[in-house]
Amino acid sequence: MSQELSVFMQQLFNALTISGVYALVALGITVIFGLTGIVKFSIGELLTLGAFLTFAFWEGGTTFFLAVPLAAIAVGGFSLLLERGAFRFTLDQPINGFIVSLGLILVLQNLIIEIWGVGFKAPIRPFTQVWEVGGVSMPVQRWFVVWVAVVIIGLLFMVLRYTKYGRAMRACAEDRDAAALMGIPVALVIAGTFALGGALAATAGGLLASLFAIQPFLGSQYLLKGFAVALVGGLGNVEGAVIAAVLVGLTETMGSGYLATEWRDAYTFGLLIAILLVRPRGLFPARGRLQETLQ
Amino acid sequence: MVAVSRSFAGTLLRQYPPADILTIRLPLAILLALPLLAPMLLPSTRLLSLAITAAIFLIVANGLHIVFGYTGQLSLAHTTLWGVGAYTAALLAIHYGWPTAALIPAAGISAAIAAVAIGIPAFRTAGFSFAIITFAFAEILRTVAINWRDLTNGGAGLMLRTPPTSIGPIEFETIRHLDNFYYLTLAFAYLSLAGVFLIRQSRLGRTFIAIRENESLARSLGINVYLHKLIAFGLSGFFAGVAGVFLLYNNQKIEPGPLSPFSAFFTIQFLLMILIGGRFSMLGPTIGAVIAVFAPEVIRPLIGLTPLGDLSTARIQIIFGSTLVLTVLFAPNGVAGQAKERYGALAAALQKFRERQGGAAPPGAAAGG
Amino acid sequence: MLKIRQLSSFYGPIQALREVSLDVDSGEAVAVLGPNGAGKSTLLRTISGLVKPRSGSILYREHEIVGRSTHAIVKLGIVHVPEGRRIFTQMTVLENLMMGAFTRDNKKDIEEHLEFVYEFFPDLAEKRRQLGGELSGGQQQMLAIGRALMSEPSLLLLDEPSLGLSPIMVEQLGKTITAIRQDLGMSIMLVEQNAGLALELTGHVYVMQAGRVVLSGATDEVSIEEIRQAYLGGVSNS
Ligand SMILES: Nc1ncnc2c1ncn2[C@@H]1O[C@H](COP(=O)(O)OP(=O)(O)OP(=O)(O)O)[C@@H](O)[C@H]1O
Ligand SMILES: [Mg+2]
Repeated sequence: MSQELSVFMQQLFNALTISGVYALVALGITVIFGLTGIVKFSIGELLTLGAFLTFAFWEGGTTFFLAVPLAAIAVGGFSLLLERGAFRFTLDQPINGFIVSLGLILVLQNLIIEIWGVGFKAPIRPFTQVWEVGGVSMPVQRWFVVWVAVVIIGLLFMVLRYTKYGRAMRACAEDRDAAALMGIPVALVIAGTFALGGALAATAGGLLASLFAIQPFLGSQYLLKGFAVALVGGLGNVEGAVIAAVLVGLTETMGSGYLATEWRDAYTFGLLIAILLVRPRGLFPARGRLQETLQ
Repeated sequence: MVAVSRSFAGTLLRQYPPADILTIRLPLAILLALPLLAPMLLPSTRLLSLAITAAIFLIVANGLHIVFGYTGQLSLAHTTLWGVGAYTAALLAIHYGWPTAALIPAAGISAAIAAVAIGIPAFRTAGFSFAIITFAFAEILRTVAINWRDLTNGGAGLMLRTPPTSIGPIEFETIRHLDNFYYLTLAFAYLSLAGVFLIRQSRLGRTFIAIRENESLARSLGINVYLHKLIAFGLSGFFAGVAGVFLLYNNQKIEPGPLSPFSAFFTIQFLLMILIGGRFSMLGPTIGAVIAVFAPEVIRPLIGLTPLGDLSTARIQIIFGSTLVLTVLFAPNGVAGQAKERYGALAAALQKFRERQGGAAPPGAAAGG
Repeated sequence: MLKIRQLSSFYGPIQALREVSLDVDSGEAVAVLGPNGAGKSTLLRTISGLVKPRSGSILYREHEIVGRSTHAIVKLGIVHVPEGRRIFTQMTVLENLMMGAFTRDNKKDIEEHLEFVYEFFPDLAEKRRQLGGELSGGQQQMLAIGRALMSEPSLLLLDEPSLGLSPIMVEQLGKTITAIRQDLGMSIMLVEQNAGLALELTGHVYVMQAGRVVLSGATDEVSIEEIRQAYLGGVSNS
């Protein structure tokens, strides 16, 4: 393989890893928004919580492969409690839900600091091998992250398309009242969606704990990228979120690979601005009554 | 600045009919005049410098209030504009030796220009898209501040070790003049309050609120919504830019790090201030800023007595965040909204009492604004 | 079967229903007429639990249903086809119908109902793989009704089903509604602006005006003139 090609392949591989993580966060944001119109910013903190819980389980002797799902379940449950305790009272006024999530950012971020301190935790490395193919070095750990993301996204799509509750979710997202008239317990579906969103973010956090050193401010950075992705894809649109995740991941890694690395964030946000100016509701706008009234 | 505060109080008092002298005018006037005595009342320099911080925050929050509170546009670039003002002032002071009196309008104008420049594309969208575009611009500006080293000195930022130059006979040279710096900041805090007050009373302010309440209705009434949003954003930027000068002098530097105005979460803190204070009230941002700065001071010794023990910054933030959540759930109009309801109820009761006494009570007992 | 007494509903400060009382007997079709803004839709929304009434009672087969959630009310057998059809435009016809069967768990049972609805509305069978949003107005209305039939309700609430349909489609709709009542034995509450159609299909009529029931009686006993009067300056009932 030529030098240039292998550099390119290397970038592509890196983009794939980061896209997987962004996609999980963006899906968490987008499913919650789709059903409730609430932009749940605190999902970034749920990602951090997922990362730290994964680390804590792992430190306690659990294998990484069990620690991530455990953390996802715990955070999903926690997210459900937050919905029952706070967000459900803001369903009439999604902007209030957004503000509640801002308050929760402060609470959660500082709780994490109180519990685990502000320092870095070294990455967990369940795989240490690195595959070398034609000058492209691909740590197995990164492959693992990519595959977990792909499998989860695939599962989510199957559930949404082929199961009764997945269809109920789509129905609620398109028209909450009409869904209720079908006999769908809308409140339960919404609560479940918060749990799902939290679990997706926590999974992303758990996976990150195997790639990088984690610290309590981890979430904000991924929230912002995840949110940018969700917005580019069209808030509330799950397929859009996945496509946009790849787009943003590519822009970022290709940009910092071929141009200057330190402008990395500027590439993403420049892309975001450019896309939103041309298509204010994202590349693939979600269609539902809620979206039409909100945007 | 005494004159400013008096004429401002005068306008304010004219708003309220005489019947409210006990319930509204007097307490409000005392509250508003109280900061003038702060250097005499506050026991330590530390508390005085907190008061300075509060005054600076108040200017920033009042600016945000114009675009978020009045016009209903969720700008996430507001504190970045604050930083833009600070950088402008630092550059002009360091490289060109501009005096403080000139830095203040210059920083204000430069931040206003930045706001308009962001607003021109951003206001082509609305709602969350607008919020996130402003956020994206904020991130880009932060990246610029870090990476354009020739201009900004990168992550280390710009230092300004000289105190403010004297304005007329007032000097700021030595630490003994911390009082003077406080009064200078306070004067601008009062000015910012007068600003939001006057805007609220003006046709412009009513237009902003019309846009917040029902954008399509406003448009159908012939209001140029886009232009007015830009004006609101520009004005808010001006406030933030002015506050940037005081931030610069207070910290003696400006840098783009995680605890600077360039941090996304600083903007969130200011949103919280407005929400806790009351997003539909003129005094909301003021109340919010004062609470945000001083509440920890009040809470800290109290909590010290409880099993929670020593109050770390993290714990204060937890309390602050929980307060916000509870505020939104239980008192969505904030402290000012609550106060207004209480005062309204009190005034109404008073009015009823007077009526029963047979006295002709003047109309309009409930507070407005 | 349905006994509504003194029902009052509000949207914030606006009172949309003022002490409405109304009955629907088993197997009966009842028309609710009235000008725009009279509160007809609000009445149906209150019955199906989408709007919580401030006072009054709704007895359905001796159960008080005020305060129950919408999905619980659907389970009891009241299904509401809302104004404007509100089909799921991003889902296929088949998926829409499956949503209608949400309260059912038995696969075989669902299959049978699906076959039945396809027989009832052959157009839907043909378009089962198409998105709801791609159907014509008339087909969408058929889908909305078909979707409601999937759960085999005993009381069907129809909100202005004829709105926006061509005269031919309206005629077909009339036949469908009659068939639902006669062949399937369901009770029907039909909200209409098209008074002519409503009077043809129902045995009892209520006229609403500004949140109140201002006229009620057996369809063959009230005259068009009386109804016109009840509209109070309201335009003709086409
Ligand atoms: N979501 C709402 N919020 C506030 N007011 C509403 C709402 N929906 C309806 N209203 C008001 O309640 C009253 C009754 O409305 P409703 O929709 O029940 O009338 P309707 O008889 O169905 O009229 P139409 O024939 O136009 O469908 C009207 O005055 C309407 O303006
Ligand atoms: Mg109606």
